[in-house]
Amino acid sequence: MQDNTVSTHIKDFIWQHFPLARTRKIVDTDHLLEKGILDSLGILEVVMFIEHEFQIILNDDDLMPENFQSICSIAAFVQRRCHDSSAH
Amino acid sequence: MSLVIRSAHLESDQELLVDTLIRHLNPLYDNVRFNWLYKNNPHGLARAWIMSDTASSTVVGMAGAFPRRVYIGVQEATCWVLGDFCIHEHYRLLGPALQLQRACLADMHPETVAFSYDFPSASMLAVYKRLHIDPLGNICRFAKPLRIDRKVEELVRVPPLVSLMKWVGNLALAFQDRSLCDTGELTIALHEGWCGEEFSVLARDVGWQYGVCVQRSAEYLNWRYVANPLLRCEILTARRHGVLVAYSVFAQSGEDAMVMDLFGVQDRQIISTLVESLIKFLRKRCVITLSAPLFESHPWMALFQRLGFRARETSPVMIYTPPGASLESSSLQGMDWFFMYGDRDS
Repeated sequence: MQDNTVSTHIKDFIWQHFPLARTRKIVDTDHLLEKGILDSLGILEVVMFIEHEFQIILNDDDLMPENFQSICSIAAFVQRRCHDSSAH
Repeated sequence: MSLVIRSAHLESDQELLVDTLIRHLNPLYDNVRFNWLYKNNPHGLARAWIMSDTASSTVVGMAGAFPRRVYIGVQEATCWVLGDFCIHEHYRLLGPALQLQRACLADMHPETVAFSYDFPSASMLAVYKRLHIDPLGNICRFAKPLRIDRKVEELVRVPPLVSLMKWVGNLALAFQDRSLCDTGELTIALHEGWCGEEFSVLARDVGWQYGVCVQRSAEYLNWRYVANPLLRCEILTARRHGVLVAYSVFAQSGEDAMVMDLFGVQDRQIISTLVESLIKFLRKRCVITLSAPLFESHPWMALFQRLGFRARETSPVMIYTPPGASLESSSLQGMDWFFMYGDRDS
């Protein structure tokens, strides 16, 4: 899957499910936690979306701040995991 | 990031644990609270876990578990109430919290801990969802306005009218409760000093009748309420022919009061009279709102509603049974739970 496709999917999901993301017109590099776009329940929704949409299973070690800071970092993380899954 | 979790030693790790609580949970927590909550509980010593990031030598968070002896019908067991869960702000994502919570739950051995329960925050609820642990049910705060002062001050801006409306409103509220409080053969009194053996006798006589219910022995009540360093609790007792038949533990904070506990024989008239007396007592103290958080299967919910308490916000209660426990989650879920505010961790 292309980088920009992953990124667009994630951005669409976040814009649809988190009204603050729309109101503040966040961009891909904005910090989602610091800006209050996502809280822990929000992260959980994003995690469930990623698992369902990209058919990958995330474990505890994946759910670290560096992987969920922004749309960019989520997309990069998903790309890495999808690549790892296909390599195996 | 490389996270490790270890079981804490209450003596040698006390300074580290208190410091972690102060930094990441509540700046007012101190050694006095720690000694009371972790070391002095008559139902057993608390447990704690510390999570650290070995890469940066940072304490990332901690969690606590506090023992409670409970009746599960006629059986007796020890369970844990979980609490003091906190995570360093730089690590507040699901991963570290999940790892810490899994470590706590994995340390529950079914021979010694029948189940754990928790009153999670919204953040913690996400952790439980990810662990596929569903809520047992909800605890609901029931509230009864005893005086109208605050409402009038909010709504009326003309000073001479405020006093008049308060007087009329408070009279009307008191008039609604005019039929309450014929104590009959009961003697209602504010308890002074420590709880004695009569409280243990009452707990042994009736505790097993309430489904899942914490053993409210005198030692437990003295620790939980009388010696509580965080909250000044008072106890209103009901005695019949000199024998303790029920009591209510309550805490007043400014203009509001909370029913922390209500326990006694299964007699609606007695319990009702005790709550009515508490209402009357707190109205004299100018308390504005009396709240009573009750679990949804609490046997006296209807009684509170009949006395004018109305449902307010709810919050979930989680239970977890360790693999191999004699009572599985499904059997516990079918039971009545005698949870009140005092059954929380602190």
